[in-house]
Amino acid sequence: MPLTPRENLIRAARRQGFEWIPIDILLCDSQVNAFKKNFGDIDYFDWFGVDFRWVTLIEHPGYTDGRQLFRRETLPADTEIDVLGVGHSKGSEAAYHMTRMHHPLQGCESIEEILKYPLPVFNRAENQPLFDRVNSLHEQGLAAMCQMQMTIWEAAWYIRSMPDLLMDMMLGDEKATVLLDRITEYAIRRVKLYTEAGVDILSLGDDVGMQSGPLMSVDLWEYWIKPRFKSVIDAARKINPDVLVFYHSCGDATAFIEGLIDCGVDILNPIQPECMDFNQIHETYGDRLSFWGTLGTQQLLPFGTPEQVREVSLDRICTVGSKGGLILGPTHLVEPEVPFENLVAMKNAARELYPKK
Amino acid sequence: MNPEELLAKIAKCVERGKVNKTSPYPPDMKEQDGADELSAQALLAGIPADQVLSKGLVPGMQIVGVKFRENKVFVPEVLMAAKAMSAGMKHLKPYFQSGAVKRKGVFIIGTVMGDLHDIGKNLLGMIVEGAGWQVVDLGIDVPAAKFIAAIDEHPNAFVGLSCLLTTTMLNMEKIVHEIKASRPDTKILIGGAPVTDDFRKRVGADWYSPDPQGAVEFLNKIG
Repeated sequence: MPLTPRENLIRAARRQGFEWIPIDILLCDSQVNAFKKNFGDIDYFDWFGVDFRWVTLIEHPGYTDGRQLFRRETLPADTEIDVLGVGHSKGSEAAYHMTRMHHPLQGCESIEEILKYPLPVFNRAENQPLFDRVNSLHEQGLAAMCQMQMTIWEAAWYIRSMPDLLMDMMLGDEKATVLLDRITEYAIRRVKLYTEAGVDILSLGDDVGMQSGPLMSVDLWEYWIKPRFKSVIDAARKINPDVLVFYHSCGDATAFIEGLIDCGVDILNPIQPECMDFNQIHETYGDRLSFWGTLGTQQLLPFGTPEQVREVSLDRICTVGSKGGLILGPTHLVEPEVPFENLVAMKNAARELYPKK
Repeated sequence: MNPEELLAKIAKCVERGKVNKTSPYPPDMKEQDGADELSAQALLAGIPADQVLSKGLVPGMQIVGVKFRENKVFVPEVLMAAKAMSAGMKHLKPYFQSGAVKRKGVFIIGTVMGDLHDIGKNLLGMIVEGAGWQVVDLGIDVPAAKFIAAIDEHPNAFVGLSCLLTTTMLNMEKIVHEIKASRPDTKILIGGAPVTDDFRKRVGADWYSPDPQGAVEFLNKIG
């Protein structure tokens, strides 16, 4: 009996063999519009043959008036405040979907303010739709993946600002302890609900890499972030020991890989080829870790030819071999300048050696 | 402490991010004077302000820039060093105002129109400022006209353009062309994650560096 997409994805992610190479893709709005113009109103996940669907829990802001969170900054009039309380104001038209971030606890000197900071709220009862959605996906043979990236470090700096949080960490300031502990507790509550709902893959992550190397030292990460991050994974595995853990970090995350494996990460994303050597990473960690992404969105996809995309895709597929351990896809959101033919080349290459899908 | 020792100690404080006596960082320099106290002591001891800058504060930041390029220190260490530098610099403010101490020149920076990322650009600003340059930071999402207005306000300034997205590299190209068309003598440095030296050659900018210290070296060479 052929594998369902869910079974195929899970087997590939566990390096237990697979029938086809799983694909992942996320298009920006203008790419979605262009896709719909060409193909009509169909889900591009279906067209690309993606084996999973995203699921999201229902949660609410912990604040009533988000603007009140900004005691030290006057926000631009068009600022929208997200569920974490982080402000997003629009840039120029040229900025497309990107927004400028405003950090409510930037400049905060009060532990009390951090302790009282209103994190999002949710409960089990109102999240029945999440449980129903996961069940429905499983009935269709699809895997369910939840979006919990910006798990600890990023969620904390979005609220506090990166320089302030890094300074707190360097100075051993209690403000960092309080904020990171609160964010961890919130992440644990979310991860428990997702795991109880039956999610197959937890998409966690915190950007700790830059193009040129680590954003912070491994020592600093191990002291402040790693134990908290591990506690999030441990909480999920208490509910479902088999739940797969995906970890996203932009940039060169090589220095953190051992630590991430220690924490229980199964899959690393996105392996930016502009700063990480996939073959070398695979050789070193390929027996303990699977890889998701690997096709560069800085050079290959926007500026390469379809033939180059095909060659790199086939090279990735051959590198991992028949056990799998690869979910092929762009390393990041596909931005407007990527030619659609290059995405088609990726899809065709994935099906070229393993045509079962 | 003789003047050389004092200046070397100021440099060490900037390199290690030791801001002042009360700062607990770095742990092995706890309760020692930081860049703040030592810069004040140096001026009090009669060391000329320009030497406090050029032989104390700047060499400290220079080491940080090199170590950052070599992945021996990271963003948090640069932030601490910049804070230590700024603690020393506040004592030099009157000397800048009187003209007794001068900056090496003006470096105008900004993230190009359409791009709202600022961390890389801010690190660049800290390290170039730490090398003794005046940095005029135009912020993010900056159109060509704003760069040109800043060039007119600061004649002979150098310009640094930053971007993180491939989408906004196209805007970077347009901005380089606009600046070069209207202010052809302006030297333009470009950088950011997707930028390469090939791209620099294609768009006609003067210098590309993958790290802030490369910008400092270029500026010190031609400035």
